[in-house]
Amino acid sequence: MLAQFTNKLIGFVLTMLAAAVLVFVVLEVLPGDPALVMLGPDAQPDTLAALREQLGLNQPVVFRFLSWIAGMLWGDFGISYAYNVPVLGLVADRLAVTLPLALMAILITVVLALGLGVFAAANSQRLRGQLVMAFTQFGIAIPSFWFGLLLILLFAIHLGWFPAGGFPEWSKDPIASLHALVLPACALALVQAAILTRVTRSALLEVLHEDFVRTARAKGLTRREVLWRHALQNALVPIATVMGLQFASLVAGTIVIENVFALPGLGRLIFLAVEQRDLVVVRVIVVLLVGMVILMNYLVDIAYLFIDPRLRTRRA
Amino acid sequence: MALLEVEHLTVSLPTSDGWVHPVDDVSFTVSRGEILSIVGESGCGKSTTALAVMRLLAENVRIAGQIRLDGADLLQLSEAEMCALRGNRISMIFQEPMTALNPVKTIGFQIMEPLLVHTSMSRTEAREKAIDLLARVGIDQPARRINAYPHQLSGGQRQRIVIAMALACEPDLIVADEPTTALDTTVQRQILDLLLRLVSETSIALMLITHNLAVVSEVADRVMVMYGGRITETGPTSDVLAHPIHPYTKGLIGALPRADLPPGERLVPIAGVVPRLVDMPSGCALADRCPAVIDACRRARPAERMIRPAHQAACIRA
Ligand SMILES: Nc1ncnc2c1ncn2[C@@H]1O[C@H](COP(=O)(O)OP(=O)(O)OP(=O)(O)O)[C@@H](O)[C@H]1O
Ligand SMILES: [Mg+2]
Repeated sequence: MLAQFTNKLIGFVLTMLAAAVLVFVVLEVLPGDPALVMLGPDAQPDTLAALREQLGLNQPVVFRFLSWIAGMLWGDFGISYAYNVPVLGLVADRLAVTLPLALMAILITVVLALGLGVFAAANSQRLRGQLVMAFTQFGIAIPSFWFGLLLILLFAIHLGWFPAGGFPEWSKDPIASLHALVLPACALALVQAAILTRVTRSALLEVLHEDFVRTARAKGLTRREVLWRHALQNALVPIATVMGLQFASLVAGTIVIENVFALPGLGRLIFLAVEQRDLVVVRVIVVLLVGMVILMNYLVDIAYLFIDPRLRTRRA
Repeated sequence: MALLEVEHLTVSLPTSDGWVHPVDDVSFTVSRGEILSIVGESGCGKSTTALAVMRLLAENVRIAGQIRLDGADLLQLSEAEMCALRGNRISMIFQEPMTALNPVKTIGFQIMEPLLVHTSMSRTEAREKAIDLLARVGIDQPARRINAYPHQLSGGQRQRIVIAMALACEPDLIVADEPTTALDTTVQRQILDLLLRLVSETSIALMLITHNLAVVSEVADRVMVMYGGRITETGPTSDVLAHPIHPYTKGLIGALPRADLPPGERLVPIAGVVPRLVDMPSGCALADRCPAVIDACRRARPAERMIRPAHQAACIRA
């Protein structure tokens, strides 16, 4: 098992490196001169040249790439062109909003999807099971920003249970901060939960045809016990796979949702940084987001080993 | 009163061509300590009969008749009451040991499960008992093996686990549906011996479904021959095998592999194939294949008649 962990860890590091190269190259190729954006269209050519020199934009590409990577390894993520502060602090502040938001959305997704998926599988022949499936169709079809607006309208403006937007800092009132994340997390989770419910249901229905389910019933377990104790774990491999894939779209979804709910997260930061050609910031955030997605898939790979004992010994 | 009394059991399935009856008006009994063997060609309704007794058929299947265990009709029980019986008073052993166990749970978990569901044992007690059971079904180093997963065991060992699970709560009746068919011949022998030993040590009744007449002749007290969802002949094993009455039984016995035939050359019991359920004849189910058929056979379904003591057959020509 340990060897498998190490192998997967090496894979993780290599993927991260490849992602960093890709991000760097893409941003290098993209048109747009940060110095020009900073100084505005009326800038004098010599001021422009001086600024480019100062930002290190004149050095060879390979050198800049290596010094960027080396810097990050030492915890130096560069200085934001636009804000003129270290990127690390800037990003860390925003991460403190986006990460909890994403985690809360995942939690809601998993709880909803497993509950509804098991329910829909247990009642696949009945109307109530079909109803759940119909609802998931809605969930998949509704764009998350629009659902977010609906949530604001109903729960913030109409009922006043949640704030309509904004985010109080964690250090001031952690409960209020969590509270502010509930609606955006729900808006993010809807689509994902709808997809995952369908996956859970179909994976379970497949497992329920297997012989060991009948064996478990012959032991005197009720249908429900068989579903939770025997079938679910067997269905978990496809469920975890889809969850890993969904995480990427969930992260992408935060960019939209943070704008809808005016949350000072990474999504908003990258939105502004792209506008301002703040390449240093864009680069770091993209690498960070990619890293989060790769890390999630790494965790899913590890989860397989816990879910299915047959994978522990065979695949090395 | 026999332990299990099945009366006029009919199982009906909806199909696009209307209702069909994989088990059609079947009655039999099994007494305590008795081994009843059910034989017949593939598709004659053996497994369906077994699953009906367990009440484990699909939800869209209708079961009519009576299945009495110690006088109480199982078909009248609620699903919850039935759950309390399954694995406790009646348990089942399946044909495919490779797929009958949950691949992601340890065998210990799976053997302890009926104990935890049906008795008031604590986890530690159930674990002790599971180790005992593993030893009883002939698994080496049971205390270590209890943490193994099914894929770490051979087919024969897995069937031993399934047997241990079936025995866990000391049931009154075990329904074994071709428990050795999927195993190697040498292993078949061992598993069969094990099952017989365990059954004879207690007064467990055994309903043993098999294709193998050699096994029947060796172990069964009584044998029941099925064809087309109906019983064609029932009686004491030695009597049925030595003096078969029904042409179908005669055909089956003729189909025993013989030393004078090249190995692998298996005779068809009787020429022809089993009719599909949707076009089951209204008279004798065997009419289209029977060498002794007369017109009357096609007219009405033959009733089971006592031909010799305790030996019945459903053939008007007997
Ligand atoms: N769910 C079902 N849907 C349709 N037909 C079914 C179903 N279950 C059983 N049958 C049919 O009922 C008949 C009896 O099947 P059953 O499995 O009881 O036979 P069997 O005697 O156990 O055969 P085998 O020796 O192959 O195990 C078969 O013709 C089968 O095709
Ligand atoms: Mg069968």
